[in-house]
Amino acid sequence: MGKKTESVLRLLSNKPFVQGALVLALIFALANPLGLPIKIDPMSKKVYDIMENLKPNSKILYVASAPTGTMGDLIPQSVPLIYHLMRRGNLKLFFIGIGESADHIMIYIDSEVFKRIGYPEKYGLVYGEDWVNLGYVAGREVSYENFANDVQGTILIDREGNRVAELPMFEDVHTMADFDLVIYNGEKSWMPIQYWTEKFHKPLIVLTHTAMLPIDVIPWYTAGQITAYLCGVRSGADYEVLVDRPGGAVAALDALSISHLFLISLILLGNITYMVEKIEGKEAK
Amino acid sequence: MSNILRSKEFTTVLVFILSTLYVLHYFIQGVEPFDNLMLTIGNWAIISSAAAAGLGLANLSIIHVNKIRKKESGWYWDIWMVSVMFFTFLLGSITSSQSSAYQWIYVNVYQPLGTSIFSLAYLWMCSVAVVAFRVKNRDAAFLMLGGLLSLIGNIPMVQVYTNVFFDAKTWALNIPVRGVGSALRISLALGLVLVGIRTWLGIDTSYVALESEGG
Repeated sequence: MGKKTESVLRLLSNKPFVQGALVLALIFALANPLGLPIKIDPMSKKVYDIMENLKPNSKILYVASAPTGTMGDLIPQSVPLIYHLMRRGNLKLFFIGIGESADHIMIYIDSEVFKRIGYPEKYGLVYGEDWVNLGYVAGREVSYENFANDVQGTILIDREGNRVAELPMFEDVHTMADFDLVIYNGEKSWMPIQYWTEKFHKPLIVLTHTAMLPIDVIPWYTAGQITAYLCGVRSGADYEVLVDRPGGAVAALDALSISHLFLISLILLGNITYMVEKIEGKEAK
Repeated sequence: MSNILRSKEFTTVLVFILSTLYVLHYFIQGVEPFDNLMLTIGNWAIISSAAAAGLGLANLSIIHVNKIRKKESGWYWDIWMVSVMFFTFLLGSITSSQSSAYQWIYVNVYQPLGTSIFSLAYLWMCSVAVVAFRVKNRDAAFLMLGGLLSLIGNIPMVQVYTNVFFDAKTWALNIPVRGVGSALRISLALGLVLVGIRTWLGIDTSYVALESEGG
């Protein structure tokens, strides 16, 4: 029995084994969706209700600012949310990327998000009148501050090469005060809070990933500076169910459940084996 | 002239002037000439940030070409790196970042690679958690309980049948973790204020690279 417990402990301490077993569990879950049940998180429902109750012709600023590595956690939330906004058909959507990695997100929105859910024209939105892609702005804090104080001075040309000042939807958009809602998709939510929310008191919805939730979102949310948030694939799956468009996030939830359960079982097995070994050691003495 | 522009004193004075303007602008708002001046300076900063990408390209090229010339260890990987870097750069410059070829490289090569690298952290954390969450003493027991609580609370399937773990995880996030997160944020902010004041007043000049000091 002693040798068996020792070999189990050695196996569980072997990183390649644990990582390989986890990868196999993930592949199994992704290849064979089990259709495990999910329960809608109240925060996801809150975001959905906010989007659903937006007044017609509300000006929504969608800001992408996330490094490529975290897109696996951020895009599953963005897709159903952007779909929801476009499905409304009566909102004014402004897409912009701010920060060093933002151009990647803008490319992804162009090439993948719109390909999956359809381009805005499919929902009756006209470019320049109902939606605009402003491309990306380099710089960080300075970009946020400049954009907030002078939108048309900071972005002269949109991503299509049009002069922003000549687009109909910018007739009454000059500063951050002219937007009705800001959706921030990134991991540095203190920037829009500091330069936009605090100064212009705009409602802010944050799309973030799981690792940043406790540090980057919860303190601001409980202080009332973030109105609501979505977090990771879990929220993405909730939102896909809410907009009645199950997709990649719902499929990934099975993998999330399986991988978590697998990890918990390994942890418990390791502890049980460790306890048995300790007891055997005491008995041997 | 170039000696003056490259001197530490010039850079320090420039930083002091710009910092003073930004601090004053926080308190003095609504004066149109001042607002316009700050917007112009901000736009210069944005342009400089964009130019930094080009500077990074040049810097990487110099470093890796030198390694290739000297045939340092793994120099063939430097050839690969420089080739891919310039190919992507030229493709985006000649066509545009909206061209299908450029987007194909991004969506099918760059983005999956970036996400995979980030995902490796998850696998590594899991393998470490299996060893770290072993109850060897009281502190390790608390660590394991917290970790298990967080893991179980994150399983969507469990929440369908019982809210206990989800509520416990939410409580933990909103009370103790939020407290720690806020404390971290405040500490970080105080540190940043200190660094900001030191940089503003020219006490900290570590951002200035001087050739005479080998920088």
